[in-house]
Amino acid sequence: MKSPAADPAGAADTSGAPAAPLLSVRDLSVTFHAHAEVRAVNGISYDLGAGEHVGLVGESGSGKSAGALALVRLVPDYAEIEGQVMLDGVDLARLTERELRDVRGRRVGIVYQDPFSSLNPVLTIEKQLTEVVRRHSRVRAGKARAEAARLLESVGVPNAAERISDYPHQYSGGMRQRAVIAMAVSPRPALLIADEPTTALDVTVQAQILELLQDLTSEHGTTMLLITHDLAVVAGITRRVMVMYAGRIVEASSTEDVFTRPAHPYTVALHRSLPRIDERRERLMTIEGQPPDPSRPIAGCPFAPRCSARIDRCTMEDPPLMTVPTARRAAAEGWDRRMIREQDGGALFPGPAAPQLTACWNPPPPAEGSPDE
Amino acid sequence: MSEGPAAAPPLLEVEDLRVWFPAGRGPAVKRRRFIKAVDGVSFTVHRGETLGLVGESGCGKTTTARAVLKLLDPTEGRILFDGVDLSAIPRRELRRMRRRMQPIFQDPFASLNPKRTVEAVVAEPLVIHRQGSAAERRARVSELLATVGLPPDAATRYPHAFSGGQRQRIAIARAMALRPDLIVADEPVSALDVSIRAQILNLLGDLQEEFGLTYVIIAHDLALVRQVTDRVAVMYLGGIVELRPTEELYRRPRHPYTVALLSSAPIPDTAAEQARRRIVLEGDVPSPADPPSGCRFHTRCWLRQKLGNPEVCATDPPPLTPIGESGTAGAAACHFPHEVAGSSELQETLQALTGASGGAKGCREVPVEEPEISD
Ligand SMILES: Nc1ncnc2c1ncn2[C@@H]1O[C@H](COP(=O)(O)OP(=O)(O)OP(=O)(O)O)[C@@H](O)[C@H]1O
Ligand SMILES: Nc1ncnc2c1ncn2[C@@H]1O[C@H](COP(=O)(O)OP(=O)(O)OP(=O)(O)O)[C@@H](O)[C@H]1O
Ligand code: SF4
Ligand SMILES: [Mg+2]
Ligand SMILES: [Mg+2]
Repeated sequence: MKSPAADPAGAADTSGAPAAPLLSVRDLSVTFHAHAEVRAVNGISYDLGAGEHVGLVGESGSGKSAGALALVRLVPDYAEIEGQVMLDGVDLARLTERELRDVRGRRVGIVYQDPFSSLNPVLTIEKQLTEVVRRHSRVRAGKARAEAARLLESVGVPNAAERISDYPHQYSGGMRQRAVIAMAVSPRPALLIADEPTTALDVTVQAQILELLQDLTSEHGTTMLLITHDLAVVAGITRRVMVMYAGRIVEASSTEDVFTRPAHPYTVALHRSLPRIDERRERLMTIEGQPPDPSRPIAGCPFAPRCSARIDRCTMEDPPLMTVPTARRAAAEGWDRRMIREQDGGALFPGPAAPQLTACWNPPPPAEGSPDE
Repeated sequence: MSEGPAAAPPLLEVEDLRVWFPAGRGPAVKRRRFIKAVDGVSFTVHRGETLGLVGESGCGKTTTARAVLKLLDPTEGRILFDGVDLSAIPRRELRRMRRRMQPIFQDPFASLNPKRTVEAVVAEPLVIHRQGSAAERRARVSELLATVGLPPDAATRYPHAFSGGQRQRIAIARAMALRPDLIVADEPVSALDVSIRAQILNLLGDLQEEFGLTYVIIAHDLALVRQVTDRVAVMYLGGIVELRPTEELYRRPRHPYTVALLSSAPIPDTAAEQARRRIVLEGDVPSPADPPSGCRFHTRCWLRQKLGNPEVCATDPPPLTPIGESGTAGAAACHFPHEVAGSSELQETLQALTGASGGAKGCREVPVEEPEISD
């Protein structure tokens, strides 16, 4: 067997040095000091390259929203944020509240999970869109209104010129989400955070909204962090996926790897337990137990109590994100567990061959081709 | 499984069900307007079978379920349970019948009284229907808790001490208390964490096997429906547009709306997702207060557009018509099922679906669509 790879993650496969990432997150933690102390996000690190589309997948309460909103400090007062967030080389922790607001308005667009939080029910769509336009570009009212109409049309609201004077409740769910997206992309942000943008929508509308996000972000080279609890949603429109569990990133891989050779037992178990539209299974595999209570400290790997691959080490020591060497993929057969290299920070460099990272002491062997066997 | 002996009478028969709600004030104050939430729905469910009701938000799934459970009175139509017309029997008898059908709701958080112990919650139907002595009820509750996989000490705790999945188990235990024949489950897992759903779905399957239960399961998740049902009714705007044995529906859909749904559903497969082209339905679902004439889907139908907007779609409502000759392939309500069968849209949709499981995962047998249907 080969010896462990010595290069930083992913660098071996990229020609030349990887470009500086747009967003660089190191050891980000979010703790809510409410009646119980909830550690919602527990030391996550990752990079997003310019123009990349990355999925953040995890079940309810895994810390997806808290982790994403903490990037731009959109958390309540009683939340404590630790770690470093660099956007375009700027350390966001050093910005004043005012500067941050500017970052939120211009550099980072957010489509919030709760569709009702983004639209004001008593104002027309036109009024709200115009306001957003004027906030980030100082143009006259007339010009802003024209821009608002153009925006609404660009997100595919039929009859935009007419429907712009409607109130939000006169829109269907899909149209409302289009209007919300129009607001988020209006300043041409470098980073778009889309938090469960389709969860409240029907499948036919979901497909359209995902397509819209895909088109808009590709057109302007926008980086997109797409948050969802539905693995299938990220399959078509992201190139990389980060899987969260109990406030941690437990796997980070290319989207293809996540679906064809997942490297964390949780990802494997999810694949086996989810019904699939393309086949009927004898029986769904269950993941026994339930996710850990985030207000209790966890010893060892947070997935250990539910994990079928658990070894002694798992209950004692929390596994960091470690690189699964690309050699694993080249020679899937002869893969050797010792080749997993502990990697500090678990940084992810964007590039054509994104490294596969897993936070597991006993990752699944790379069953070629299928998460099922 | 699906086709039991044709002789056995169905457990549930729904005949031309209509549920119209009075619409709120509108411009036409004088005219009485109605929201036609369910507008002419008929189906049967056989003993031991699982029927899925799918369709997008507002198409009338929950309303249908509530009418079946007699939680609301139908505007029109009949519901026969075990051959008995529920609207034609005296109250007392209705009570007895209702014991045999139990609901399970989407939200286990909302559907359990937080102030009562699990034992009281699960025993409640027994108390209401005056079943057994206190001691017998207690024994029944611990039996039920074991059946749904909860520890015996759960009985003395309160619902809030349980996770979502466990609460849904409590709700299932309660639904089972009166040994029902029929369980109507409205989105039973959609409020649960994804890693918990399989536990509950498998539990429902086990209970069905053990107790010969009959299910009507409402869901909008097409993947889930394929997994757990024997037959599926696809609803659109208050009506059933296609009613098929499950595998028929997913392999040989014959209604343009079903094809659109299948083409929209995300597939957990990168290659399939990137390769596929989706059918985009134009516009929004029309208002159920003012459904389109003719085929209720015609205003958004991709096939009708492709066929040059034939008049018949806008004038004549297509009845649910059996597919093929055998009578076992179900029915679809479209004037042009052959054209659906022969369309490139269908081919592409099925290719995405079969390509996914067939490609990435190797040698999985997937029958190829045959465009011809006998008639
Ligand atoms: N404002 C808050 N105050 C206290 N606890 C919070 C707050 N927001 C989130 N939490 C807790 O932090 C944890 C992570 O929550 P978060 O909203 O990030 O999860 P999520 O992955 O986005 O889940 P979902 O899929 O349900 O949106 C949860 O345990 C949640 O209860
Ligand atoms: N009590 C009511 N009064 C008036 N309208 C109602 C009432 N209940 C339902 N409706 C309307 O009837 C239609 C069907 O509603 P229903 O709840 O049956 O849909 P559904 O298919 O269950 O949708 P979902 O997937 O969102 O649960 C909708 O247009 C709804 O707004
Ligand atoms: S009857 Fe006409 S409008 Fe209705 S589904 Fe068939 S082709 Fe489309
Ligand atoms: Mg969230
Ligand atoms: Mg409903």
